[in-house]
Amino acid sequence: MFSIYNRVTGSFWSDGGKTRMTALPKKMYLFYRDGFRSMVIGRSLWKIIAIKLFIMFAVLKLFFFPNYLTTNFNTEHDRAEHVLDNLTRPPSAR
Amino acid sequence: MGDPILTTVDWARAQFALTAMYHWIFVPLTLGLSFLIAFFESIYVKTGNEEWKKLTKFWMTLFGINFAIGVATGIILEFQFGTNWSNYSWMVGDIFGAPLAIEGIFAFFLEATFFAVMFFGWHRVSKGFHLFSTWMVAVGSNLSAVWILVANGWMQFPTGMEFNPDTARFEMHNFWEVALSPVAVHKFTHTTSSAFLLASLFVVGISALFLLQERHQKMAKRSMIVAAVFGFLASVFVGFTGDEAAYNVAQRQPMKLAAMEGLYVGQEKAPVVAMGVINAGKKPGDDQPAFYQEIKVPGLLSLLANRDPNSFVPGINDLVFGNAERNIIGAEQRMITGRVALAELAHYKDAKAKGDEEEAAAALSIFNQHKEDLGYGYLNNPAEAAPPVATTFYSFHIMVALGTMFPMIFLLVLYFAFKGTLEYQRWLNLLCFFSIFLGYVAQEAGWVVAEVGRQPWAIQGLLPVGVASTNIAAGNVQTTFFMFLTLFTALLLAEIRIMVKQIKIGPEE
Repeated sequence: MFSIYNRVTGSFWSDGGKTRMTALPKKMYLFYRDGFRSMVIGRSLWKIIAIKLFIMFAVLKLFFFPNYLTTNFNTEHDRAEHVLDNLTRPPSAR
Repeated sequence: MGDPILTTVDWARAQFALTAMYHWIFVPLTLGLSFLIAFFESIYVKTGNEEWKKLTKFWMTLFGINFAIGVATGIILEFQFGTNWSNYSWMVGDIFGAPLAIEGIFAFFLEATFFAVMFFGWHRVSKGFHLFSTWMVAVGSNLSAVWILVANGWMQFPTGMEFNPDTARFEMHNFWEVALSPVAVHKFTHTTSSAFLLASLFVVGISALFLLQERHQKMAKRSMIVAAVFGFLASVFVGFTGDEAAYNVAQRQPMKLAAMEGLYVGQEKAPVVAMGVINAGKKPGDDQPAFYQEIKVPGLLSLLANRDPNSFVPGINDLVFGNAERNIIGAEQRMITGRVALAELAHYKDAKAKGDEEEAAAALSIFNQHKEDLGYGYLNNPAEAAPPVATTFYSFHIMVALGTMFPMIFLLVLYFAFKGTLEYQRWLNLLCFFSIFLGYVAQEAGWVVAEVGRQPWAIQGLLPVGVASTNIAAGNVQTTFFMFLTLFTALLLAEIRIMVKQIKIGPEE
């Protein structure tokens, strides 16, 4: 993958492509770490993202948005039967 | 008239509309601004001028704010599918489940990789690779919109699938028919190009604010020229794809087209209503006038709908009650066919349960002959096949009017920019700034046309929204509706607050 980057861009890192692949994980770690450390407005944004994801997954999804069919029926067959029951209920019974 | 009682399906629809409309505040700016940033950075890399780099970084910051606030708001729609729309999500799971999941994973990794390089990599990677990453973010963001728009296109024009009565699922039998259906293609091109237009308005509008405040004028004028060129080209393309989309609506969803134009009685040389005050109380088949006031352009609707100014365009009455002279089968007749399909589906189910394969085969055979009108079998009266006409009409006309105005704004910006007097055009700069808001109005109006105009269907002609929803208490959906209203309003306020702060700071000098 990185050889493609090298061909497209000349080099992946700004050191002219001298970086050896063995050092890549460390380079990537430092890249992200330094990036996060140097953020200014990004810190506030990450806080908002974290709060939002917490509300979405730990509150809304967990307590308010269960998957109706998965929660109430154990097998695919039962779920199909339930949906088919709903589909074939006559309009007067709705 | 008593107070209307909102049922579960009404609250589920309101909740979905609320979520989708809030989600669509963030998405189009991400889609369009990503390309504008790529253009700005390309100019920087080409010229080596550091001022273009500062300009790129400024717009990138606003892009990051919008992205961060908007990210994952679409996931809430998926929560709603499982809880409020379980019948629908079960029935289409075979068609959309896997592609949406793959797309989500693909988009996540593409964005996580190149997004990080774009923001953290200015001094860590080469100029070329940084630019490549910025382009990849633009391409990746736009690609991540493909399948959800294909799914929406399929709901408007279900194709490339078969209904399996054993599993109660629509099963895809032709991937390419689904992915490349004309409705899906135009849905994607029209939606993404309108997002480019909105982002151009955003850049032009914020830059105009700088000119009004006499701040960062050089940077503002540079931004405005690039955005106005992109915005003008996008506007032309939006017009072209809009025309193609309307042609597809005419061919495949004639009821929606009739509602878009408030056309109750079909006619040859059908006019487009350029402006009008619609009679919201009119019902299909009654004698009330459709409009209180209107200005019409004769023959234009026939031309747009059938590429022939003399052709016949069916009206709402024709599509509800039928028109034997024009060979149009109305909802009234389709209800009869649909009820046969429904009865035979029930018959098939019972025969299978009894183990009577012969009877099941006979029922299935009759079901297959009538299944095209399955959805009409659920309607209680034929007028239910018509969408809310006033909402569809006004949304469509607001969208078109604004879509006609935007390219003129871009041309004016370019004219005064090349004349060298852009900063002195206070009226134009005010209009540009205000047009950011108008751009969002046009975006939301477009979705209202697409979604309200196709009511009562969740899947066109096959599944009405009332059957697509889950049988749960209305109170549950009502509670979460207000929770979402609070959450999204808080997010929107946060976005506006952080953006305003960042715009006040402005680009590096």
